[in-house]
Amino acid sequence: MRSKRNVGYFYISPWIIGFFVFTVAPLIFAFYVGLTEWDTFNKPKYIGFGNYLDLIQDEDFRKSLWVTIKFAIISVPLGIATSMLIAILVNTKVRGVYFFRTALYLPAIVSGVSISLLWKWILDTDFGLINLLLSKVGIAPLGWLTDGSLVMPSYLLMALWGAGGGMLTYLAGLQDIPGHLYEAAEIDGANAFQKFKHITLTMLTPVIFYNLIMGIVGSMRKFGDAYIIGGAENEGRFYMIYLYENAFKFFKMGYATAMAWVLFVIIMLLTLLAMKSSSAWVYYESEVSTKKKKKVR
Amino acid sequence: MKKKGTARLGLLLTLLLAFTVVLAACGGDTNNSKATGNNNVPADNAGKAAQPVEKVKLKVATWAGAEELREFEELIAKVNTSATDYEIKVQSIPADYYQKLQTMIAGKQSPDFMWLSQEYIAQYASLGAIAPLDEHLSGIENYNAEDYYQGTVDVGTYANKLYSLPWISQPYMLYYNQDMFEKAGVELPTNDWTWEEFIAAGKQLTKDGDWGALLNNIPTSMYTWSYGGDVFDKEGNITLDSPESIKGLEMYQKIVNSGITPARAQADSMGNGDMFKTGKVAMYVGGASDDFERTANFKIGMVVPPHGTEQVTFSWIGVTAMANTTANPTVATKALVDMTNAIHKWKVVAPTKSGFDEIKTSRPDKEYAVETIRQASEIARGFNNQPKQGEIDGAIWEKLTQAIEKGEDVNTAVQSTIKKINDITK
Repeated sequence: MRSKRNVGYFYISPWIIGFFVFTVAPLIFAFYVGLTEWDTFNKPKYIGFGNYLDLIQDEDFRKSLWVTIKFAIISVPLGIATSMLIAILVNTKVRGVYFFRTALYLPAIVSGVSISLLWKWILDTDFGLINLLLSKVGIAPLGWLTDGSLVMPSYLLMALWGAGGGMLTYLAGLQDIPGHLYEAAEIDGANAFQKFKHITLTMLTPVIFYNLIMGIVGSMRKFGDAYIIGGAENEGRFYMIYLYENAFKFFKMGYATAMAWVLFVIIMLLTLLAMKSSSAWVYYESEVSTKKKKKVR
Repeated sequence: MKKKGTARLGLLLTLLLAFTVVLAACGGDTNNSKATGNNNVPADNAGKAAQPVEKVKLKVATWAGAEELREFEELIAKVNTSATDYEIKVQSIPADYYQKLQTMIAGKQSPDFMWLSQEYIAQYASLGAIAPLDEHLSGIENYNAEDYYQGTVDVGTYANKLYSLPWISQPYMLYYNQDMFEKAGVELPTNDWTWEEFIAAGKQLTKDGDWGALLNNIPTSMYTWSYGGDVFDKEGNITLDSPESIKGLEMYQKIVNSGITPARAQADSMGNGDMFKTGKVAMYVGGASDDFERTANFKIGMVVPPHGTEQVTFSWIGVTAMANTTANPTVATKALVDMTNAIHKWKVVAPTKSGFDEIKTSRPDKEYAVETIRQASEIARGFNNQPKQGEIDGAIWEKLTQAIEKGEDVNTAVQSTIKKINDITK
């Protein structure tokens, strides 16, 4: 038995080694780097928690964090609601539904860079599609990316456009809801809203929970499109952009690594908060079944 | 119990062994990382005792790609053919150049030479990534310090040491659309135009949806130079709040407020150069080798940019620096000089007086303005770059340029910029 177990360990040893070399060791090293002043060309100089203390004083750090949090607070619930709505719409049995499903999912499979470039054009003040459409109804061109107050709405608009990507999980969740629940509700005289609230929404809570976690992580780590598109008055300078600038433009790798750890802690706390709250609003049918079985015994 | 312990120990040792093998494979050879594959080449001292058995192998990192890369490789091949003691290899990094370069240097895999834009020189020098050249240049016959335009040498100097050789200097010129001037009955610009004359002409040319001028390329510091000021003096002291600098910045605000230029955002979205090419703006400040003569459908003129109390223009200067880790700096410096001299015959505008006339053969379309460009090259300069220039540029853009363009008080913007620069450099 023991020899069998050792053979098992031997077979999984490449993964274990990979885990230590490529995950654990860099994590330990990154923690150390966060405690140093390191320009990457010379040896790191240990400064304790100096980087973390500097972050508190750093106006640009606070601004980038606020921009990111603002984006997350609005985009995550908005994305969840939109994706769910799209999923409900394409879950109906209408002609051409497969076309709509495919079309709506397309943004999720297109390269992020090309989407960003496309949006840069769409949002352009002089040649952009949005301003062209607005001009047709007599609205003067808006500086979507050049007017600081419009930069965040522009990013939210872009986030909404990608809501079709989240649709897939909701669609799978919707198709997993047993039809007899709706039949029973109808017999009990439930109206459409009651059916949606007490069956659809309730049964979808695990999917909503999953998308909430992924949304928090994704929006807090926003980088690709912001790097390409930017935005006036630093309104498009998300946390990861400022982190990148510190690491690769300002040669402050220690400071950037400290920022990475702060972000890690923020994401972890938000995730823990979401998980802690999940017992109050996420419904798992399997848990209920297990409890029922236990009661029967 | 003992058997169980032995098995665990065996497993642990196996894992440790595998871990060590992986680390060893990742680590590389430290000698190799010191230079790029030239360990078998005798170092400076050793070379005196015996003839080199093999050419020193050197690597030059460039952001050139596609056609520019092909031309550069041809040039390097020619340099290599006539070289007896070194061989240069080109390493092209056409995308994310500085990030990759930084990673290579951090990983002790630095190329022996690297192309740098002027604002990186002080930063790389202060961090010890590039080597001072003075000592090695002294014995090289085909290096002529006097031949370089002063402004191009100044940007490569940090802490009184020369860290790079410039291979291009693009002085900024004032291009103008002669047809628009003639149509509006406005006198053509001259090489000794003042900013006031420039604004006056611009106002006459701004009409019917066309603009008088587009100056977005001009770095904000150039306005301070125009009146004898600067952001930093040569010793690195902040002089942005000097009366001369303030006067220059006030002139910048006056130009913005005069209404002769389109808003920056509008010009950026329409393409700055394209606005001039398509006849939407009458005057445009761009590099001396910009291709307007080939692409525009109107008569083009070119003069030195307007001045305040001083005649000066900004120049985009590209340099080649030598890595601090190159194994044979004497031979490498010789190779650097040969390579740089060869580039002067390729790139226009050359940063040297002797190489300047190459522009006549390589860019015949610029022949009409050769003397004007020469005049600009003599007064052209770069920034007094600081070790944290990247962050400082960001501060100038955010606190100074944008504030001035928004119409905020110049003195307040200057104080706010100085505060930010002090935070960066503390």
